[in-house]
Amino acid sequence: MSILKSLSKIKKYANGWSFALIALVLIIGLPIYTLFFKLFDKTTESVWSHLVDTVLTDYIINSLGLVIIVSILTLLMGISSAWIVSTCRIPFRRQFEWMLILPLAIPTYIAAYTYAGIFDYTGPIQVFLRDIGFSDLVYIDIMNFWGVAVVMALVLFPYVYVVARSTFMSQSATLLEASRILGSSSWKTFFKIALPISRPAIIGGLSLVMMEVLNDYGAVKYFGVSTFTTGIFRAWFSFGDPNSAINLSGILMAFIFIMIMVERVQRGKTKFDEGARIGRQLKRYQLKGWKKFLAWTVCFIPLFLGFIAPVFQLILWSIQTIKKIIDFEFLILMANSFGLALLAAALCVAFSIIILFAVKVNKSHFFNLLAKFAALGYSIPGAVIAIGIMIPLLGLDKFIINTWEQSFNLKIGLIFSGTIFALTFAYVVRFLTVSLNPIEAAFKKTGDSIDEASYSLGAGSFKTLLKVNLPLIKSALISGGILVFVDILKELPLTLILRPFNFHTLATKAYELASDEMIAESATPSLIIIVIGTIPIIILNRLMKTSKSDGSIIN
Amino acid sequence: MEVLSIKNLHKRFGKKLQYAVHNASLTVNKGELLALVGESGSGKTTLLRLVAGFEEADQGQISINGDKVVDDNFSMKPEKRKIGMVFQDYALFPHLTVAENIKFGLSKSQFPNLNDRVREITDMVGLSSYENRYPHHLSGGQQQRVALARALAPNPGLILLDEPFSNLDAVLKDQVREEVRSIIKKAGATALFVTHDMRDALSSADRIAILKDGKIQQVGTPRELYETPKNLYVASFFGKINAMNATAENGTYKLKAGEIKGAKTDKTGQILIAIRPENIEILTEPKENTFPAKVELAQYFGDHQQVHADIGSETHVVIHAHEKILFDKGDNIYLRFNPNKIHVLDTCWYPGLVS
Repeated sequence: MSILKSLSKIKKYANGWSFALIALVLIIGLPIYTLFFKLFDKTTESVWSHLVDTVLTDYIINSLGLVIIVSILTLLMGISSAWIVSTCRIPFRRQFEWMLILPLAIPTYIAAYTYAGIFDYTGPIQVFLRDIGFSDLVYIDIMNFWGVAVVMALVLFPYVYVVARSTFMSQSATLLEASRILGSSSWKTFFKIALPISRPAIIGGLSLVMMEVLNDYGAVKYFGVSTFTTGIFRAWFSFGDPNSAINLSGILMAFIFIMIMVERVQRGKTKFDEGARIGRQLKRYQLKGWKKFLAWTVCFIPLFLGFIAPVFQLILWSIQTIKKIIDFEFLILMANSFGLALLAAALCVAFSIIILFAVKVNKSHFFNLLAKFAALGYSIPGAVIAIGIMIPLLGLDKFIINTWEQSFNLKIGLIFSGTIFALTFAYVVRFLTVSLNPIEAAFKKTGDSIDEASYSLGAGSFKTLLKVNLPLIKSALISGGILVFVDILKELPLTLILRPFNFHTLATKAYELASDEMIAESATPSLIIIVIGTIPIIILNRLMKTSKSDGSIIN
Repeated sequence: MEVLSIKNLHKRFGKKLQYAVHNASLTVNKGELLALVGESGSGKTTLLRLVAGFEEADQGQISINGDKVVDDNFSMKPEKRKIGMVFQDYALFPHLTVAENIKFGLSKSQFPNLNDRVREITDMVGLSSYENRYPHHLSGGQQQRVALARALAPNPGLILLDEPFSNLDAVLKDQVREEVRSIIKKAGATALFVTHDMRDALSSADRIAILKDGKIQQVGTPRELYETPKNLYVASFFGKINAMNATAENGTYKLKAGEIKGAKTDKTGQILIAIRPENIEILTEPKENTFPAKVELAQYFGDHQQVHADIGSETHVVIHAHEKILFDKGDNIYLRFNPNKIHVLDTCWYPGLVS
């Protein structure tokens, strides 16, 4: 009886959706399995022990150091500007409100070589210093650990800013007023009430900053700071030892795992942010005199250094070099980038639909966990995903080539590795999370009774998805697709490792030009990436505005 | 003819000890409206969802129009059961117009001309001029009629309604109850609906099933339930009732405070009796077969007075008096229990409730 029962239970879940979900998750997990199984493989002993003896401590110190310093800087910039924008009246407050998100459109590697160019011997700052009479004595060297930390923080702080602002804005005014009526100064109100309430959300934003720091390859490489990602590249390309690269990836993943756990625990402990949502908005403080100027400066500096200055410099360079850069090859470059991003974005959206609908059809804890597993990719650095995909695909290619040679005496090229296939695959693994999130939220919002209504009217699951669910979540599908598209366009480390020979995207080309001391020439592709990167920001901003006007909260 | 037949249905969620539905058996006949009434957590919605196929039973059978839809290790998919359902939140497809919503469940093989069928149904529910509107342009009552029309359009063997009136305000409710009943009757449909509000059931249903703790306590017409409730729970569903322990002997109920004579009963021994407040008469003079009592509290409600009285031996009763005399705290009165209106209840079911 009980065997029959459990058999019939399994039969209940035996449908096309669950098979598709399981198949997708199995495939998407490939880099994780690679890491796991290869971690205990033998390394080329000399290389690994050499790495351990010489550079491993550097990697650990630099990576952890960057995470800590960038976190502190982004917290300072993000929280202070968010607090001022949400609670004070300053000139151009509305503009600041959305423009402070703009730095996010600049990938860390572009910010890095732009700032390197600005502070270069022939760059505007040195030229200016020389012009006003300081000779070569003053040379500001930013090409070090501290330089890269500041540059990264300048473009990553909006992650903190966005969440801090939305929690500050949604905090009930009565709560803050209650604090003031009890005699607290506005500073005390901030530190004792507003900040503690917003902490879980801010830590969520901060964890994204940390992920980005650990994912970064271009900026640290350019500034000559060795971290785990540069180490993975070196082990793979310079020493030709994949197992050392895997070991480094393993250590890096351990760090990330701990980070995620800390974040989860933090969130689990604090449940009070939900209840505080209701109520009027706070009447903003009217500042006067130097206080007003100071508040304004606190908002302006991150915006200026994080967006206006580098973009202005890039525009200048682009004007100088655009004639040289725009040619037929550049058009191919654009087509490569856009085509690839479009393909991978479409796949991400399609897979998100299948995974989430499969969970909806088969309500079970197990399928829910599988979907969570499929969403792990975003927390794994691009370089690690690239290694985790490259190794098994290379093995598969070798096997296929050998069997073909033996059985048909034919020589064939690489099929999976070093092709667009591997690259697209890796993009989907890394960015699936980005499309899963908005689509999941949209599915949740439509609810279950609409599906049940459709079933009760005789429609099967496929018709229900096609005729009822998809039309209702159309805008989430589009915004999910755009988010993935933009992320892929910006992506660097993964593309550098997995791109086919002589294949370039806007990102790799810009980075290559900058690395070859042609920073001015790299400006045009960089600007294109930045301009496209602002699209989701504008969309998000509009979404926030409309949600505010009909009084609902979209998070 | 039986349209729906439920036999010994059991359902438990997860590893909970308590059954959500425990050994439920029920039949609904053709053209009948049956209401499932219970408090939240009584299992009424689960029972409805088991019939619809959105939950799977652990044990038991369900047949619809003679076809087995649930049996041991078999459960027909909801979309195959040919059931219409009206959801609590209506679940109208927001991206489709009224006509498109109604058309959704129709098939060409059943209705060669779909538009004719849509017209026919919208006429029936009185929404023919709203066919091209979207759901959010309609009022709550209209949305509900669309939901009903959509469920009725494919001519299902059975239609299920989940708390159909809970989203409507009180003024609208009375009107809609009447409408829904007449539409279902006009369509010749058989319906099972769930509600927590006894007035919904009394005004719309032909028969009522009362659920408590996953068990069906009693099924019957409103009158049967009111006049011959099986237990205190069912009895108390219709408002106040006085319950007392008694010993029965030769047509006499012996209470701690006295005796009630002249009952037509063959019961003997320890029993639980109950009498409604309006079936106790208040007299100012002692007469035969009366209990002396003292007024503890009297509340004036216009059409009646609610009097709480102490009849001694720690027994308190509530009376609804329609006399012109106003009572006051401390008044000495005499109560006559109408022996023919006394129910003998099932004691073993809810001993905890006995006061």
